[in-house]
Amino acid sequence: MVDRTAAELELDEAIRTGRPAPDHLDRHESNGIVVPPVPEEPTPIRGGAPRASLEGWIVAILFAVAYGVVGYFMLTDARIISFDALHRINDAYMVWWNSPPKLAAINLDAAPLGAVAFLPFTLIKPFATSLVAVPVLTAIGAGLMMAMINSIMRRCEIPAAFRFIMLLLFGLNPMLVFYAGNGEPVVLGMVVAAISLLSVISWKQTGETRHLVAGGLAMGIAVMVDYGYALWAVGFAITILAISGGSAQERIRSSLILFLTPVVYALLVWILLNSVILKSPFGWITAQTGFIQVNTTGILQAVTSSPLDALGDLFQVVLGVAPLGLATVILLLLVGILKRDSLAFGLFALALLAIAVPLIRVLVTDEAQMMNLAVGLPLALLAIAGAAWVYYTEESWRIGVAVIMLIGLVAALPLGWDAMKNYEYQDQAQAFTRWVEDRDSQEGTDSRGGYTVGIDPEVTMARYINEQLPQDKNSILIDENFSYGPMILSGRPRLFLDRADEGEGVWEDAKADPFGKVDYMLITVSRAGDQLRKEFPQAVSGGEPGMTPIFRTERYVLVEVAPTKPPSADQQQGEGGESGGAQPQSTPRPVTPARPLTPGSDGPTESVPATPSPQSEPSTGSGAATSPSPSPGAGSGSSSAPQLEGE
Amino acid sequence: MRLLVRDDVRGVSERMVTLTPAVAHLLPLEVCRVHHIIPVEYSDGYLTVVGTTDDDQAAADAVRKATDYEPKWVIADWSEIDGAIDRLFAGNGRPEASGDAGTTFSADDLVSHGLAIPPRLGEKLAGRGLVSEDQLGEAVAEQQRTGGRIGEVLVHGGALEEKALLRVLSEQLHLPTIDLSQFDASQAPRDVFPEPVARRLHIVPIAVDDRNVFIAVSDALSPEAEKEIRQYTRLEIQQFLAPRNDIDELLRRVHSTAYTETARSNLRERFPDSSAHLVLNGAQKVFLGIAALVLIGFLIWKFIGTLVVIFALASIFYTLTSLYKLVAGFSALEHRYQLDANPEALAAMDERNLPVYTILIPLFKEAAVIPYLVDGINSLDYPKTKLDVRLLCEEEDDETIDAIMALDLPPHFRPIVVPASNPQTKPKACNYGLLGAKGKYVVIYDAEDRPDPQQLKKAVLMFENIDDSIVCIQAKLNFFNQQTNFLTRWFSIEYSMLFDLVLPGLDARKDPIPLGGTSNHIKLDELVEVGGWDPYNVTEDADLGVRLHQAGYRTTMMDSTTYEEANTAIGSWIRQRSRWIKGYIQTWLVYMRNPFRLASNVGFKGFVSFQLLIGGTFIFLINPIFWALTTIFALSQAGFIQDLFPGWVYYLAAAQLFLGNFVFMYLGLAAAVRRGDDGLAPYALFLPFYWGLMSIAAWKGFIQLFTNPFYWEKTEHGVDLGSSGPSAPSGGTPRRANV
Repeated sequence: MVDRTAAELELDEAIRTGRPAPDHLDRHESNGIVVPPVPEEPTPIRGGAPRASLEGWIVAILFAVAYGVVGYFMLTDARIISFDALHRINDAYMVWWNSPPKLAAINLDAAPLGAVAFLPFTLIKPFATSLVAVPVLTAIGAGLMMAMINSIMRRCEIPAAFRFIMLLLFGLNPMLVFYAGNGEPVVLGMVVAAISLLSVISWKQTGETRHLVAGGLAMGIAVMVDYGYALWAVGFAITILAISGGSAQERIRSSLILFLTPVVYALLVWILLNSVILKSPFGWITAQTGFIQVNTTGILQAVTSSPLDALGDLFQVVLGVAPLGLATVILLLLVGILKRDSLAFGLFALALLAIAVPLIRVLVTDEAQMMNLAVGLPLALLAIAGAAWVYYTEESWRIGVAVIMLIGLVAALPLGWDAMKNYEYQDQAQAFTRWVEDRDSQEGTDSRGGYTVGIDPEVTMARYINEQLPQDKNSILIDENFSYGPMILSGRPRLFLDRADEGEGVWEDAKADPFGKVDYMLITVSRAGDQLRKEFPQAVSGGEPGMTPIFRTERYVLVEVAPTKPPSADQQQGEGGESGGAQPQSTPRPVTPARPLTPGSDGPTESVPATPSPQSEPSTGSGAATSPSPSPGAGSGSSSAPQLEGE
Repeated sequence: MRLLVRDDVRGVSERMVTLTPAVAHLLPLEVCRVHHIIPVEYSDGYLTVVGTTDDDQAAADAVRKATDYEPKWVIADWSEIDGAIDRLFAGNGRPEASGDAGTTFSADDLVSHGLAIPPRLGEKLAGRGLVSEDQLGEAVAEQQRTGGRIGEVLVHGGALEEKALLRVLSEQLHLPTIDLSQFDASQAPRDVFPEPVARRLHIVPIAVDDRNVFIAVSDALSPEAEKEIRQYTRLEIQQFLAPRNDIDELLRRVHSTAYTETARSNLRERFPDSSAHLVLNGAQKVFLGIAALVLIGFLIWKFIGTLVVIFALASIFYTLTSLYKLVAGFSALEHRYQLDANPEALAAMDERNLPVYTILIPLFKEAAVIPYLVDGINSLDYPKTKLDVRLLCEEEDDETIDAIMALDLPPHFRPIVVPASNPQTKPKACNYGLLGAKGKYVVIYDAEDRPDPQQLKKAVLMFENIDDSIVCIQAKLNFFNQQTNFLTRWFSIEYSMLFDLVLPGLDARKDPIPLGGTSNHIKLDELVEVGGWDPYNVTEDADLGVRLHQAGYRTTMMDSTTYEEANTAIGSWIRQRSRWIKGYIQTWLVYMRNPFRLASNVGFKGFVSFQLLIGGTFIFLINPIFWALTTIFALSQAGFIQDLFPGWVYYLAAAQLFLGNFVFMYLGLAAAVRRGDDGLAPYALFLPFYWGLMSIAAWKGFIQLFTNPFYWEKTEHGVDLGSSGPSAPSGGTPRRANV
C-alpha cells in the first residue's frame, strides 16, 4: 500500500492550483508546466490470497455435519425447537410461497438476516415445512464459524495439534452445540463476527486493504443479524485506530471509513425502511432482540433488573459459557501495557464493549431475561480469538497462554452444562440437557425461562387446517407474529390473511371487521399480545357473536367467522331478541372433515370446544419445579405482561 | 601503393608508407591537388599526411577544415605526391579500383593486413570536437549496456546533432548526404520498387535516370537489401545519406494517399463486419424494426403487463451486470498478475536484447503539452535508441506541429503529420502512425500521460515470459490531478475500481478485456493481423480488445500505472463520457451483427462477459428510469408503480437498489484505499451522484449514436498541468481528442 505523504499532497495542491510547488518536493518543471511525480505502485498481491484452505473446509464440514446431526435429533427426538427460529423460517417461507410472494414478509422488528438466511433453504417446500432447514442453517453457520476460529488460531501460529484440540474443546461447549442446531441466529452472528476478528488480525499482520474490506463487510452483516454488533463495530473501530496510530491522518481516516461504511450503510438502510414502512425510524433500537416465542408464558420476561443484578447475571453467563474470557481480558490488558501491542489494546476495548452489549440491553429494556445465556457465546468467541492473539504476540508466554486456554475451554464444559441446567434466563437449554441425559422426548415438558417444550399444538392445528378446511386463499385471518407455527407447518401461507398479503391497512380492516372478509381466525390462546385476541378477547372462549371456535390445541384456537356481522346485544334487545345477556352465542357451525382427524399423540386438542373453561387456558409455566419464582405482580397470568409482546 | 617518405616526428629519416584509396579520400581531391598532400594514416586522433613540407599552414588548415583532424606530417617529393594523387584518384574523382594487379583495396583489407587503423566513429566525433570526451564516455557505457550504435546513442541522448553524425558517416561510408526536408515529394519516382519494401528498408527513391536510381538511405544498404532492390530494378543504385525520420516522412508524403486510405479503410475492407462504419446493418434494422412493432403491439394490447415484462427483463439484466462486475471485482482481490515484474527481475534484464518499442502519441491542439510529453517519454527507463516515438499530428494543427519542430527533438521522436481525411479520429491517426512503425511492440500514450518509468520494460518482460497467445497487455490508468475537485476525485475512484479491480478480475477469469484508452501494449504483427484500430469506432480501444479476443488472442493486465489528466469540468466530462458510452454501444452493435459467430469465436463465457460488460452500458440508460420510479413511489406511493414491480421483479429491483448500489460504491472505496489514495475515501460515499452524471452522458451518447455516430467529442488536455497549460482550442469545436 502506498501512503500519500504530506509532501505528495502538497504537490497535488500545487498542480491543482498552478502555483509553484515547494523546492523540496520531487518534481520539476518543463516549460512552466509542473510535472507531477509518478507515485509508487501499490504493493501487488504476491501470495497468501484469501482463499479458504482445504483444512478450513474440512473443519467446517466436520463440525457442520456433527452439529447438523445433533440438531436434527434435537428436533425430531427431543422435540426441542426454538420458536424464534420458527418465526424466522416462516417469514422466509412467506417470501417465496405467500400469495403474492412478498419480501415484506421479513419482519422489520428484529434484525432481518436471521430470517433472510433461511431464504435459500425455504425455496424447497418440504425442506422448510418439515423444519429440517432449521438445524441445517445453524449447523452450516457453526461449521463455518469453527473454520474461522481455526484460521484465527493458524494465523496466530498455534501448532496444528494443539489447534485441533482447542477447536474440539471449543466446539464441544454444550451451549454452542445447542445453538448450532436450534435455528436461532446467534451462531450466524458469530460467523460474521469471527470473520471480522480474523480480518482485523490479518490486517494487523499484513496491512493489506482487502482484510479491512472483508472485516467491514462482515461487521455490516453482523449488525443485521443482531443490532448489538453495532457496539462491536465501535470496538473494531477503536482497534483500527490503535493499530494505525502512527500512520498519516488520511490513512487512519480512510481505514475507518472502509471498515465502518458497511455497518453505517446497513443501519441507515434499516432506519430508512423502518421509517418508510413502520413510520418509526428508531423503533428497532428498543425492540426485542428476537421474536415473540409463543411457547413461553411471558411471565419471566416481566422481571426487571437493577444494574447490579445485571452485572451479577453477566458474571454468571461469562463464567458459565466463556470462562476463558475472564483470563483473556487480563492477558490482553497485560500484553497491551507491557508490550505496547496495539491490537491487544484494541481487542481489550472490544471485549469491554462486547460485554457492555447485553448490559445495555438489560438496562434499556429493563428486562432481566435480556441477559440470556446465549449472550455468552459471542464472548466465548472473542475470548478464544483474544487468547490466540496473546499467544502470537508474546512468544515467551506461549506455553502459559496455551495452558490457560486449555483450562478455560475445558472448564467451559461442566460450567456451561451447569449453567444450562440452572441459569435463570435461557431458551430451552435446560430441556436440551435433560434430553442429552435421558434421551426422552421433551414434548410438553417445561424448561427454564417459562417455556413449554414441543411443537405438537402447532402440528395438530396445521394438520387440521390442511385437512379439514376449504383451501381458499386468505380465508384465515391471522396475527402472523403469534400464529407463525401453524402457518409454516401447514406449508400453505396463501390460506392466511396476514399483514404481508395486502399490507397493514387491509389487514387492520379485516381485523376490525372480519365478517364477510375471512372465514376463519386463528388466535393464540396463551398470549394476550395477539392482536386478534386483543380485538376479540372472547373469541377463544366462544363468547364473541358470530365467531365460533371450531378447533383448539394447547396454544391455538381456530374460530369460524360468520359471513355477516351479527347484531350487537343492544340491537338484539331493541329488536326483542331472546339471546341477550352477557353470554355470547357460541353454537359452532358444523364443520365437515374431509377425512377423519387423527391427532394421535399430538398433545391436548379438542376438535370442537364447547364452553370455555379456565382449565383450557394453558399453564403459565409456574408449575414446573425447576422454574424460578415469578417476580411480584407477574403471577396473574399472561395479562400481566402484554406490553412486553411488541404491542 | 607504397611511397618513401621522411618522418621527422618519429625520428627516422626515411620509411615506407602505404597509400590507400580509403584513407586518401579523407581529403577531397581538390584539397590534395592544391596543397600536394595525401592522407596516409589515421591514429589517435591525428591524421598523418604526406606533404612537401611540415610547416605549410595553409595545408594544415585545409586538413583541419575538411576533417577536423590535427595533421601530422611526413615529407615526400611533390612529383611523387602528384603521381600518387593521380593514381589514387584516377577516374572521375573516384578511387582507383585497383592499384597493383589483382589487388582490391578496402578498409577491411587494410585493417586485416595491419596497414591502417580505421578511425572509430566515436573517436572521430570526439576528435572533431563534436562531442566531449565525457559525452563519449557516457555514450560508450550506454552502448555497452544497451547494445546500440555509438552514433545513435549520442544522437538519441541529445549529445550530438543528427546532421553532424550524418556528415561524419558520409565520409566514413563515402556516401553523399541529401537534405530531404524541402524535397518535392511529387518528383519522387513511385514505381522503382514496392512501397512496403521501401518502408521496411527505410529507403526512398528520390530520382531516376537512364542508368541510375538515386535512393535516400539512413545507412549504407546491406548486401541483402541491395539484392532485394535489384529484384525490382536493374539500374545502378546510387545512395545518399539522409536522416531516417526525413526518409520516413518523405515516404509518407510520397504515398500520402495510399497511407491515408489504408489508415481509413484497411479494417473496413478486410473485415467489413467488424467495422463500425455502419451503425446498424440491414439485418439489424429489420430485426429492430420488427421488435419495435411487436413491442408497440403488446403495449396496446396489455400496457401494464408489457411494462412489467420490460422492467423484469431490465431488472434481471441489471442484476446480472452488477453481479458480474462484483464477481470480477472480488476475483481481483486474490488475483496475481501473469508475471511479477518486480524490481529484481527488471534489473536482471539485458538491455542489449530489448526490442524496438513503438509509442504512438496522437495529438490535436496540444502544443503547450509537448514539453511535458517529451519529459514524460524521456523519463521512461528504456534505451532511447530503441524507442520509436510517433507524434501523430493532424495536418491542420499547425500550432502543434510547429511546437514539435521548434524543440528540435532527438530522432526517436518522429513527428508524423496525418493528412486530413474523414473520419478524423484518433484510431485513424493511430493506424496512420502504425505504417512504418519499427517496434516489435506498440503502445499508445496521450500527450499528458505520465507512465510508470518501468512500464515498457515490464511489458517486454511479460511478453517474453508468458503465453504466446497473450498479444496485448493493458497497464492500469489513474489520474495525477485527483484532488482538483469532486469530479476528478470520483473519476479517480472509478478508474481505481475499473483498472485495479474489474479489469484484473476479468483477467483472472480469462474473459475479454475492453482496453483502456491508453497504455495498451500490443504485439505489432498481431495488431496488423487483426486490422489495427477501427477508425469509425469512437471507443476503438474497447473494440480492439474484443476483436483480439475474437481472433483467439488474449489480453492481460500489467501491474504498472499510467497517470493521466482527469477531466475537471462537468461539461467536458459529460462530452467525454458520452463518447465512451456511444462507442461501447457502437461496439456492442458491431459484434451483435452476428451473435452466433461471436459466441462461436469467443465461447459461451466470453459471450456472456461481452453482453454484461459491453452490453452493460445500457444500464446507464436504465438508471434514471428506475431512480425516477423509486422517487415517485417513495413520495406518492403510487399504485401503478407498484403494479410494475410484482413479486420477483420487486425483489430484484429492491436488491439492486439497496445492495447493488452499495456494492459499487464500496468497491470504489476499497479500490481507492487499496491504491493508497486515502484522500479519496470520503468522496467514494457520494458516488451515486457521479452515476447520475453518467446517465446524463449515456443518454447524450445514445442519442448521438443515431444523429452523429462518428463525431468525436473533444477532451481538453493539459488544463490541470499548471499555469501555462495549453490554450483553449481555437476555430470551433475540435473534432478529435486522445482519450
